[in-house]
Amino acid sequence: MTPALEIAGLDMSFGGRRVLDDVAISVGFGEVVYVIGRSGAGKSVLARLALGLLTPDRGEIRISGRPLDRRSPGALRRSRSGASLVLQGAALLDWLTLEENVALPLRHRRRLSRGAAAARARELLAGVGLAELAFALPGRVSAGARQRAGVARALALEPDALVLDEPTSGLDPQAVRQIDDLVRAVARRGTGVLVVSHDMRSLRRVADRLVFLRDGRVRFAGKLAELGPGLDDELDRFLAE
Amino acid sequence: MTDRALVAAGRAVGRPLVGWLRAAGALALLAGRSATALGSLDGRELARILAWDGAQSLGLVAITAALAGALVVVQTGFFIRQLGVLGLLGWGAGYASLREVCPLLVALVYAGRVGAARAAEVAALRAGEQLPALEALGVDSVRALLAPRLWGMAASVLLLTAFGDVVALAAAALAARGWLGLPVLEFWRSMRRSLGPRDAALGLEKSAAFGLAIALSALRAGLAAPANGRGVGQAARAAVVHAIGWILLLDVLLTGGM
Amino acid sequence: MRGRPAPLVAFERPALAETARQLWSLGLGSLPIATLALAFFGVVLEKHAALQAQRALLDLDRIGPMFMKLLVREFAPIMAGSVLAARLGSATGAELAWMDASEQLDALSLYGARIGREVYLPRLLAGILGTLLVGVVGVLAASLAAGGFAQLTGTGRLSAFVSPRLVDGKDLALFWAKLGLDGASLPLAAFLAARRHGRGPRGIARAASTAVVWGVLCVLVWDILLGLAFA
Repeated sequence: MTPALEIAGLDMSFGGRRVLDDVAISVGFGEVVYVIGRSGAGKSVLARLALGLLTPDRGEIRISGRPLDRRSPGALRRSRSGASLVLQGAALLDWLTLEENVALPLRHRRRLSRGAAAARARELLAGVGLAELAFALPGRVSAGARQRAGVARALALEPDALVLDEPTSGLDPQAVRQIDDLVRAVARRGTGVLVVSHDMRSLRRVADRLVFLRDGRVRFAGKLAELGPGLDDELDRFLAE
Repeated sequence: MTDRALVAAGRAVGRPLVGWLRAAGALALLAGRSATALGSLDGRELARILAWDGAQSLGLVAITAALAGALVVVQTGFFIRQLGVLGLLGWGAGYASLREVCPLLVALVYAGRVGAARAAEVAALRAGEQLPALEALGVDSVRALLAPRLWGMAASVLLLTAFGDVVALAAAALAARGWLGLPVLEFWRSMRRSLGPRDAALGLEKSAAFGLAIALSALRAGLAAPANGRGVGQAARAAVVHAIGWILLLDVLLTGGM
Repeated sequence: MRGRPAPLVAFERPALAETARQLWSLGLGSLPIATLALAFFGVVLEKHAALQAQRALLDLDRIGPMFMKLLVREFAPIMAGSVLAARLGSATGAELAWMDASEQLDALSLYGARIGREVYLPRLLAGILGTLLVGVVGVLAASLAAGGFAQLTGTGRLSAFVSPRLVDGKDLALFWAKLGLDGASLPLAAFLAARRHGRGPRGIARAASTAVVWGVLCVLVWDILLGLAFA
């Protein structure tokens, strides 16, 4: 079966330093895959590469079987329309309300009218438990609420694949749990979710599979149950957390 | 040796030339994409920009224009008194205000206040990854965010200059009354005798061009600065300096066409 | 910087090396854009003059010497002031706000440096000297550009435009007074703008733009007040 998101043979260097080296990851529909690794292991670069925000030196990315087309900005936009990304901190526009932020892709991508986009945005916000904060500005709500609104905005286009960059970083335990539940719920609807994180607690709660990156290379890829001590000393330290 | 010197000379000329060409190309691309977005502009975003950049600069433009009006009277008054042709003051002050001083000063102040702030905002949007986040959702950031800013800024420069013209002429008339004892009505008559709507229109034509130059310089500076904290300050400064360069160049070109 | 009293710098001895560095980067750094601006403005003025001379059937060569007087008294100081308000004001405002935000100013005073002597006074002096320099070069650039343009387009002679025949002592006094006050006000406006907005990337950008706006307003106010005083 075609995976929701497929990354194959990805190489990426910055200023002569190899950040990713022959990385391959595949995320099936309805599956949650965690990518873990130390800071600087190339995780965030991977999240941006997956959506075509950066161009790799080599390798291919397919979203629902369709390769990313980098020939023009328009072609890129069309070819990645099956995937969404939530960046660290959600990166909402701070002069728009949460509802307007979520409505933005609906109006600009789906060409919905202002009213229809707003109504759908409120539904999406209700879906992530933010119905009562629809008219609040991002600066006035908690970091956890911003993150959930970011997920709601990413879900607006009903993506086949969703990439989350450090979604629980800097959140309190209750907000972390809310995000974890949300990730599971998104996967249950059939979306393939790739989470880039170093939060082992969330990983244990949510992940179907995990990919461990060290020095830009995949050192382990498989189910949690397949994990054991002695595979990699750094991975052992992660697991001990 | 001569070969090496030639290569060095070629580099010295070529590098800045390529830089200029690339910047000009990027500007043209931005202008083109904003122009195609003109038909489907986000009305609410445009209104927001007009309200913020236009309305909030009203006070500053009023002060600047009033000072400009008074200044023109002080400057021309000196010569007009020496020549003993007080009756020409309305014409001199009106001509200078409408065609040159008002469009130029409003544009300079607007570039300093709004152009710099908008450049900083765009740089901050990139530093905070809001722009990449929108791109990742497939939202065209030019259409959604940059085009409303461009047209909003350009339109507010034009409207503010029209407002500034009125304030400057009123201030000039009052200054002529206060300083040279020329009755307001006399000043008005002298202005009406030799100036027409054409003079105001030519000034506004300039300010439309200045507005576009300020907006393009600001957006370009915001997009070209490094996407980090320092880049935000850099963008603000680059926006001001580039805008002023363009304003003065356009002033020369457009005065020629009068 | 925030919370400390306004910089009282006038009675300290400036750090000479820093003054030279500021003069180099701000004064000379502003020279190309300011020269270009005044040259452009010279051409604009010539075009207006030619347009009006044509209307009134006047000989532009008779207006030429008046042009230099106008330039020295009025246009050179205000154009130099406005362009420097943008170039020098934004650079100094952003730099000081950045120094404040990155705690460089706190570090300086911790190491026992006197901020007035090391930071403010050099910028103030560089502002004054730089503005005077830009004003002088600007007059030359504008009159040469205007005269050259008149000669090229056949509306007048270059020599008429670069003639200082009508410029008297009072004009020169006004010229130096305007430039000197502008040059002192621009860094001060930038200091105050940085003090007010500091901190964070947006604070730095706001400091830069506030410095420009306050600078332009200072230039306009000085121009009017001195114009009235020297009328």
